[in-house]
Amino acid sequence: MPDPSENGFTAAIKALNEVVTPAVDRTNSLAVEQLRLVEMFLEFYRSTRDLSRKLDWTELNLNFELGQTVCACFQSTDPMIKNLNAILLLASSDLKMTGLPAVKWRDHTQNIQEAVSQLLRSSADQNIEIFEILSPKVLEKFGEILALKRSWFLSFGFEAKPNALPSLNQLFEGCPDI
Amino acid sequence: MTSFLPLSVNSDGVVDRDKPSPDFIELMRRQYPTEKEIDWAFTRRMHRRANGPFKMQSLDDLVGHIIAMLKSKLPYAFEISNASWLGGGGSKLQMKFTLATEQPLKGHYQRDLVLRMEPAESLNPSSRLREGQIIDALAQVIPVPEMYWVDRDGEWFPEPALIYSFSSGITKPTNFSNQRVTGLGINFGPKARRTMGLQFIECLAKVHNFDHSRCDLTSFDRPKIRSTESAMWQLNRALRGWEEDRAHDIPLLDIARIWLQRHLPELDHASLIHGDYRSGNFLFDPSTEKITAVLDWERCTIGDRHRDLAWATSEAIGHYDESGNDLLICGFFPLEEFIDEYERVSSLKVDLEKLRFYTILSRFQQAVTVLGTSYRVVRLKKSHQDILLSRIEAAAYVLMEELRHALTGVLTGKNPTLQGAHHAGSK
Repeated sequence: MPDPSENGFTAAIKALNEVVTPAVDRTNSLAVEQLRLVEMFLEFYRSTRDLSRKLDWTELNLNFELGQTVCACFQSTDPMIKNLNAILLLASSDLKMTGLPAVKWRDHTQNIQEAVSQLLRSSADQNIEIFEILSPKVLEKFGEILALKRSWFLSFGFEAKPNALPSLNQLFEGCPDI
Repeated sequence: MTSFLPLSVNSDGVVDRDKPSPDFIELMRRQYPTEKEIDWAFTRRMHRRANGPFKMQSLDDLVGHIIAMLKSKLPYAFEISNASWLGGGGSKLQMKFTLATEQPLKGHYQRDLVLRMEPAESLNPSSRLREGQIIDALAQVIPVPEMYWVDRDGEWFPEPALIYSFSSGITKPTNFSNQRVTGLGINFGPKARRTMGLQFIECLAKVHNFDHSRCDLTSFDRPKIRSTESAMWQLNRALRGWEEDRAHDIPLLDIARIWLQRHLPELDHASLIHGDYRSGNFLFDPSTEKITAVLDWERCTIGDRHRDLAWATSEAIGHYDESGNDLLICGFFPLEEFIDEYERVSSLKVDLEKLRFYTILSRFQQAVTVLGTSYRVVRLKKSHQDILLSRIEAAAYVLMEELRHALTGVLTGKNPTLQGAHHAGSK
């Protein structure tokens, strides 16, 4: 069955291309520039809307792994680790619920990142040895998180070597059918 | 060490960055001391943050403000014409216009000028007075616009503004199709690369060697030599922006902050610093391949030359050569050649440890600007270029990858290259 938003996106892009853009004064460079950006955003959201839930799920899954990596560096009795463990428990449960609104997954991602940030700050202030053990592990996991985001935004044109990035299909391997 | 705490919170127990309390603003000022004029710019925007979105001005509105200002400044008849928008910039609203005057001695005089005005909040909280003073100081040193007037406090315009001469030229070749769509990663083509690259370095060397001690730079603080003050002011400026603007914590940026705070280098020579020195921020004449004006001085400061060098080395700003092997810094030279040429032309030494620190600081500054300030500006509809700022969020992940790579190098001894990623896609 056709997606009803497809025609909406297509018609909006066509209207901009064929009617609005030619009507804009070419000497108004600010308007011309912004019109191009509106078109770009419409095209981007048209082409990615079916994948956005996979992005949110995969991002949470990577952050969940980040949280597990961090937990392994601390004693489980540490109050901040207890907090992170509680967040991970909820996230783990919601990762299994493929029908959840994506905002839930994004909230878990944010909660995990904030808890990890707190642990980094507190270890830097109180126990630099832990910070020095922890930070390379966080950096390593962040490579995967950033690769996901960079691939997602590839069409925005900021990559110097776009072909070197993994494809979204590769990055979404392991993501359930959502 | 200073952590990101304590913070003022709203009724939900969350820091309310959309409506910052006076306590929060004062806390930020105390916690992140920086130059006085920069503090003024940050504090001003925070006091005005809850005032609502930026109201886009029409060309006629702005011409009206210019006329009102000039009536108070010019003792003779004048006329404003040919007002038009200038695109390209993500931070300041820019309008070109023609000023014609009838002066008693000169007679008829006509000049194309540019009004450069802040939106309600911009990508870089900065001072038009500083920008005006540095451009004026460098008038005889490198190609820059000629300064006319500065409205530091928004006395004549809705927001702080300056007026300088219009410079002719383009930012990227129009006859060379291999360009990224973003305006970054400009490819000047193999033929023009060396000629323009050398000019680019010569301009930077002249700025860094310029004796600014007798210049009217009252809006600048001068950092002490053999102290870490210069690096600390730069770092605190970024930290304050991140603390005032971000949506949420990002562990990678915490690691960067902690490392930077523990490794502040001393200043050996106080140079004028452009602050955003890169391709895209100068104009050139395509027929002669000569640089006609160095623009966008809003991040200017007095400080460490390594900051300008490190800023320019970002992969997001450069591009790979035709072989696909060498990243060309700002589209000109591979890194080693870039540094060698800079040392040769400037006679200033490049300290690789300092370059490493400033590379990490620069990527941190760039990432927090894009992911923090840009996010907040768009969320609160504070600028004329919200849609452009929204787009550059995507650049944050490229910059953070460079930051991650550089941090991995210093924390583990792996990947000890000077630059950021230069290894797109690696894990």
